[in-house]
Amino acid sequence: MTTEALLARPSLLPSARTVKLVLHALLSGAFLVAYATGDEDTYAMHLAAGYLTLVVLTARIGAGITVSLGHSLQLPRPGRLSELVKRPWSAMPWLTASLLVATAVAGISGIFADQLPRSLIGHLHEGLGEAAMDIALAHILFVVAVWLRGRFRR
Amino acid sequence: MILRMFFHTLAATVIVAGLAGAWQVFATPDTGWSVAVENRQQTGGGHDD
Repeated sequence: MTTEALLARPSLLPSARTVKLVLHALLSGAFLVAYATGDEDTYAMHLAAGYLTLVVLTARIGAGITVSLGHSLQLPRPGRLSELVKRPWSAMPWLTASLLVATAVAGISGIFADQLPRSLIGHLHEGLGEAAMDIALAHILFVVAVWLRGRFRR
Repeated sequence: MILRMFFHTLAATVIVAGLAGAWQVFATPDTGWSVAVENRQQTGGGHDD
């Protein structure tokens, strides 16, 4: 089957929403496993999950950069900080963007911690991982709060 | 949507944990669980009777 024929049958291709869902699941799943296996006993697991997190994160950011404006895979676009005072719910894109950045920074520091001999970078990576997890928890709480708010306002 | 995200994340976590666990066992057999199991057997199990 040619590519044109494949594209002519959109039902065979995953929708943007499915791609977003799968990337979100893989990113959060890999990050969670990497966070939980930071122990020395499970170092190979930590490496595998950590590098997978970086690969999925690169794919997610790459997709977010290349899609057109308004696409569902578009990266979060935080508004002005002054808006947060008037509309606290507009903090969502800020949280999502900071989570993506924190995960990327923690992942990149992990590469250095893996390649270089035991050094301060290991501790830095640990701290950045903790910070990324804290932001992830805030992100989850915020999503649940927005969801509950939507349910009770109906 | 939020529940779909949650269950997909849960499924992905289990899959990634399984794959990374397999990588741990087969790529580095000198560390991790295999050694833990061996130590456990040598010390006569993990129960504090």
